[in-house]
Amino acid sequence: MNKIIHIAKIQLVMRTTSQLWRFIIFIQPILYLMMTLFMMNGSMRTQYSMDAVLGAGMMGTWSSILFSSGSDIDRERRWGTLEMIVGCPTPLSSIIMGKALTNSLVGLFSMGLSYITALLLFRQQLVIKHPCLFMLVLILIIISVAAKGMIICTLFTLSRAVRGLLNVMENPIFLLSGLMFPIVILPLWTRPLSYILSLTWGMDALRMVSSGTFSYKHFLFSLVILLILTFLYLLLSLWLFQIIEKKSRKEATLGVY
Amino acid sequence: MIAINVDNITRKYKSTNIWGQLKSEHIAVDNVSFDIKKGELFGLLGPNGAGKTTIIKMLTTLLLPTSGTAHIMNYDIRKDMQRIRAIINFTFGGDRGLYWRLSARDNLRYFADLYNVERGIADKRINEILELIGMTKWADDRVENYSKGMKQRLHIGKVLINNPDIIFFDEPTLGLDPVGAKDLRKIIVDLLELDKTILLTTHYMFEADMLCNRVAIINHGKIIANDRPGELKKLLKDDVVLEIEVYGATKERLDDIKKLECVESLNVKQVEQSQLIQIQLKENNEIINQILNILNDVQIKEIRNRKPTLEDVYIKLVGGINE
Amino acid sequence: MNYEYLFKKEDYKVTIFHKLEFFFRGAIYSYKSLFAWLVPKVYILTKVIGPIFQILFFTFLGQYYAKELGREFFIIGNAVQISALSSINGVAMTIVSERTEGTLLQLLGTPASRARIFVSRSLMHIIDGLLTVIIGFIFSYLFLGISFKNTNYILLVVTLLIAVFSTSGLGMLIGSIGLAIREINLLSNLTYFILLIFCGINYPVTNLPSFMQGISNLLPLTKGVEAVRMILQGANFTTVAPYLYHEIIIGVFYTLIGLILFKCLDYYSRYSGTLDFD
Repeated sequence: MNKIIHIAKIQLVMRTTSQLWRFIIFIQPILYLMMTLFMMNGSMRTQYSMDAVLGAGMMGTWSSILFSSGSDIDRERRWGTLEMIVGCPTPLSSIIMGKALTNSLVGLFSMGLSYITALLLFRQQLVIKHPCLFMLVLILIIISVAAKGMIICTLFTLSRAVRGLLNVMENPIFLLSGLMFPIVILPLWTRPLSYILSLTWGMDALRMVSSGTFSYKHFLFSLVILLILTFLYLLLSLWLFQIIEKKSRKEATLGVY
Repeated sequence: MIAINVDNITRKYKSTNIWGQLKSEHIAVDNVSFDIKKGELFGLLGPNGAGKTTIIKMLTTLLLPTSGTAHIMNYDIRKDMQRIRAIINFTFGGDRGLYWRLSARDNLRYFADLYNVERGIADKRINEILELIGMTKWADDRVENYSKGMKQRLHIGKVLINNPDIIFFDEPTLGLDPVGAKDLRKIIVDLLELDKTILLTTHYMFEADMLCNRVAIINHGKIIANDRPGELKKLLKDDVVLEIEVYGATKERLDDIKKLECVESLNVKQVEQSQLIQIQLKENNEIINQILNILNDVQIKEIRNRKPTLEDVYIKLVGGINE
Repeated sequence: MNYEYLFKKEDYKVTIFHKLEFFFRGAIYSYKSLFAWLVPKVYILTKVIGPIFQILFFTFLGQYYAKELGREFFIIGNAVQISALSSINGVAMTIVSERTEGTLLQLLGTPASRARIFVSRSLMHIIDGLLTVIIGFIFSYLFLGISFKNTNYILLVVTLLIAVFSTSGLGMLIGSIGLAIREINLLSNLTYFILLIFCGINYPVTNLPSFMQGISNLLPLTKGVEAVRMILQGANFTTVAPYLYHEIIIGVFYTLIGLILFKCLDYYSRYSGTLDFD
């Protein structure tokens, strides 16, 4: 466990030094937030600002995990340290979990920044009706996103081709997970895609606990699905890790892919 | 006639702290003067950091001198930049300076445009250039697929694209294998037949000896010698160079040798596992025995006796390179 | 050795036609040599799929929060703005790549005019940007149901061309800045978003606080996008002419500033020798 925390610390240090990363995590979500709020007129703003803030925060979290998981492995590959990491005693899964958790936690920052922006720039009073439940859901989401990050990481380690997809994975997820607007307005055939994304359920739950208007049944349902999906993601990533270990031992091509 | 006239040119680099105050000043080129006649192959010799590249940059209008002037075919390097650029060309060699995604032909065509060479003439000229540098077969492959030698050759091709009167080569054979380097040198010599004036910098002494009509030796930004190679070698006309290849000579031994009378200078080169000791000395039979005595407990691979070369002149003037 | 052309000192006049030729060919070569998206897969992902998702995202967002503006408002705004990928990011990258490729020094040592070197960088990207917009429009026509009835197609293409040219002026300025600083990517991305926020893409400029509106009018795309919206509703040349003139002036303005900055950097690098042009 300690190892994971230690790795998480190193991650953080390495990360904050990249300007592009700082942009994607801190500035980009705020820009999206500003655009959304500018779109709304006065009354809508009062009603929906909180949702927009939450959405922007989640955007930051997702962008963070997407960007870092993908480019991390690429960087290691370029530096030639990939084989070393795969080969060292600490299981690869722990290393990547440490990284993923950090990257995910950073999402909290962008949430905070969005909140401040809405407060100062748009003078919106934002209230969270159920703060404890909110924190709970947030933590679950963070773990869930971290798990997704682990999957992305492993896919990257295995194949270089996935790289191109990185740039285009932001917007689709924003859309399908209903970060800035509820998925009801999307065409019906996209629903299954939205449902397998844990963020969809997490976002829904967040909106519920912040506004305070919901039925406990509905809330619990979302929470349970979120947990199940997270669990499935973790299983998937562990399975992928095994494949990596096998492949690297058998083919020794990890660095060159 | 004088093609290049350099008159007391100096280039200083200042570094300032955040308050704009002078922190330190580095003099890269220090009051350098020399002339190059039309049709000459002139060599600028010196170790890394001596100021060779800086001089080339100034003469090719890429850098302004801090003081002093220079004229290329009577055009002032400060005032007549566009005119100078039209009649010269240059290359710094290496991996950079070419467009990797384009083919050799496309690279040459692009530069032809930049040098205002009309397309009809450019295409015919490009074919001749490709033949001269031996790249006709690979002309339409991308530069990123070329070997280092091929890229160097393309550099030389690029340099001819505007049929310049004056060509500047900065370390053209650096990093090339012996065969590649030999080919390149042949091409440079061929260029003289085309009546070009060439300024070549290098830190390979034998190359300058072999190719150049005249050679200037530069160190720490100053020119310390400027003459024909033959004349320079006369500086050591009474000397003989003893080369001893050994395994594991210690510094003490080397110092002992240096202390001997008649030893002008001593230079040590690391050649893979062994060391090559080059000793310049006044001809004297005794001395060889004395040296061998000093080295009696060192394993000696080979002993050679030869006439001084330009490199030895360089060592004498510059004070030895320890590679 | 018979090197006839290597000897030939042709004293022919370099006419204006030659110069135009050099300009256009230079544009094509610089595009070919420095364009990062030439691999089809990357091009499709970055210049087609990515932008389409942007259109989708903002259209749905707008539908939910600002229904009164109508779907077309968002579709048109984003379909035009996505051209900035070429006219900002592409142009800036082409200019800055000269430094990283190591060819900038070679370029500056030629007798070619600095203006020619600099401005020709943007030509192909303008065409590329136009292509992106057209793809965006085709997609929107097929899947989002916008209508081109009443549209004067020629006027539309001319307007789009002007808008993209105008944005490329800003791109050239950013490229020049990028030659001096290190992180050009950050600046390009930021500019892309600034255009999204200020240029009336997803909401009328009047939604912005007044001090921000001033900036909108100084940026490219603002008037151009408005003009396109009007054209799709049947406007003719006389109506949109003032918008077009505004865009052209802005485009020329940014191009000039970029060029001046470029020349300054050229001079500075010769003077101090410290700009990493090697």
